[in-house]
Amino acid sequence: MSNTSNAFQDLDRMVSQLFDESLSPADKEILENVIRENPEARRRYADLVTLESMLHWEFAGVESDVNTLRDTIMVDFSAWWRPAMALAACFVATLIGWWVIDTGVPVVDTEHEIVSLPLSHSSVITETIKSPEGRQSSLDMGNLVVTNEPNTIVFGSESSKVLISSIKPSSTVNLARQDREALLDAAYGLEILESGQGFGEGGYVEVKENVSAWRTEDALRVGAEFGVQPYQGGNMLRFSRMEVDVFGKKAEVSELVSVLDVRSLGANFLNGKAVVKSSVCFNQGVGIADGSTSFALGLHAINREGRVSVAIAKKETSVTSDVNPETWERVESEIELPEGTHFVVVSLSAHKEGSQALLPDLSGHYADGLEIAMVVDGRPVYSRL
Amino acid sequence: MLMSDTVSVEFSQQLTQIQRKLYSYILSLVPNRTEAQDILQESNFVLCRKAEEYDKDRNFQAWAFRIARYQVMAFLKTRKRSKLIFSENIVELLAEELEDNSRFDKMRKALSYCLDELGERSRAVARLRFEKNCSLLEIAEKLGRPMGTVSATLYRVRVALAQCVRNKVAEEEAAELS
Repeated sequence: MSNTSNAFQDLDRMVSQLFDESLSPADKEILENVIRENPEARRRYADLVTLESMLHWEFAGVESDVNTLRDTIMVDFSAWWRPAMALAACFVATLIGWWVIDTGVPVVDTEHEIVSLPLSHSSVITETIKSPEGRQSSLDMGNLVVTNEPNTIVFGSESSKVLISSIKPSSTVNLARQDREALLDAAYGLEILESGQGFGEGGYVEVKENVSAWRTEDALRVGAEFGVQPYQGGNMLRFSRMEVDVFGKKAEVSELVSVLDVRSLGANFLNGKAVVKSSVCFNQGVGIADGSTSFALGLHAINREGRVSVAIAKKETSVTSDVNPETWERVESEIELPEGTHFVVVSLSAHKEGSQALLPDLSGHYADGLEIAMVVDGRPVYSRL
Repeated sequence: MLMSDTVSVEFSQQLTQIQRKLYSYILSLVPNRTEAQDILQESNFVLCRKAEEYDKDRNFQAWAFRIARYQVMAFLKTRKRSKLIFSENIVELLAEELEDNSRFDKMRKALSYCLDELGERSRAVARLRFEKNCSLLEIAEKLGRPMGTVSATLYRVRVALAQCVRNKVAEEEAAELS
């Protein structure tokens, strides 16, 4: 019995040194012999290595002594905006509560008007189509068809579809794949804003300071998970599952968070410089096989003529996250709106490359603390938390 | 080609669910953290690529382990003998032994209890080693202790946790029988 215990003591010691890369060549030979000859030693080795793997996994990404960015404010929103932001936060909370109840009664806030008529995708459709037989019919709204033409959103089937809206890049703007997806979603937001309705699928319209905004991020809200605590408040935005390109070893996802209708500021644009500033924090949960993720905050200026919209300017700022779920990486972006800007699209994206991109969603990817502000000639005209 | 075009959600979920076991299996055969993680990623890549070949009537874990085993063997062929790596015949022997990991979930549950039992000093060393992947030398420098002391502390941590886990699993199995 004592011989067995001693043998296992030696085995335990050698295995521990093996894991710590400090096992001598002589002891490695002994360890191999023990494992080869003794089935009980093999089982013990199996238990020890299983435990070791669990320790790697359980401890992964739980760093605690790295300074967080929680105290860092990188976008300087003027102090006088803060009361308005607080009001906006209260307003959003109220709105969400109201939305859940959804009584159908129009709500008008003294400071922020909400157009409250519920609207579905189908409400956006203002056209009917003729079937091949010439019979006029309503569209089957169950199908969303993306045509070969980039950034064109169409409802209906392949044989009977109607152009609803599209956003195309101008010749000077280069759109990445994640931009195109965000703009595809934004095209629907444009229709909602154009329609004057207050709700659409997955979002609602908020009107503040003469700026209407189509907001969609609330559908992404989750509480703390995967070791990630919200940057502020009780929830954060969780990115949808990434799309994976197996052979390119790439994975990415984009999320539209807001479309601002800035047409009411048109006169101001002509006379001065209009700038949209935004900032947001990113984070990720971490599993044993997770590396860092590249996150980006994108701002697009959109010009709209009829049903066709053109992305006339783009600004994107990216950051590579660390693998510590306790810290948030903050980015800020700023775009000067060119003349002819009618809408501004705010989007977030996440991107992974390499082998880790093959299973990118073992844990989640998150954004929080989104701030958007617009300034015309140095005068704040819009702000939201 | 997008993964969603070739890999079903069910396949993706199964693969996600066995990641810990797959990593444990690979680490058993190649007991080096960095190399085991690389092999895990390569194995995931091969599994996704072969998703269409997977027969749903077969045991998914056994199939995944088999592919991971091939990846380990391929890795060994590219490496010269190293003190960190077992010889191929030992790996073959272990691979057979380790395919049965039916106690994995019980051990994992027991470990979460046992980690809470670790003393403060042991925990500090464990965090540096397992959380930050510091080498013995780095830990010794950070804590101002000799490397031998750090090595001995980690040995004691592993033995204590292993003993605690064994006891907890035995308790649970006894409770199941009674």
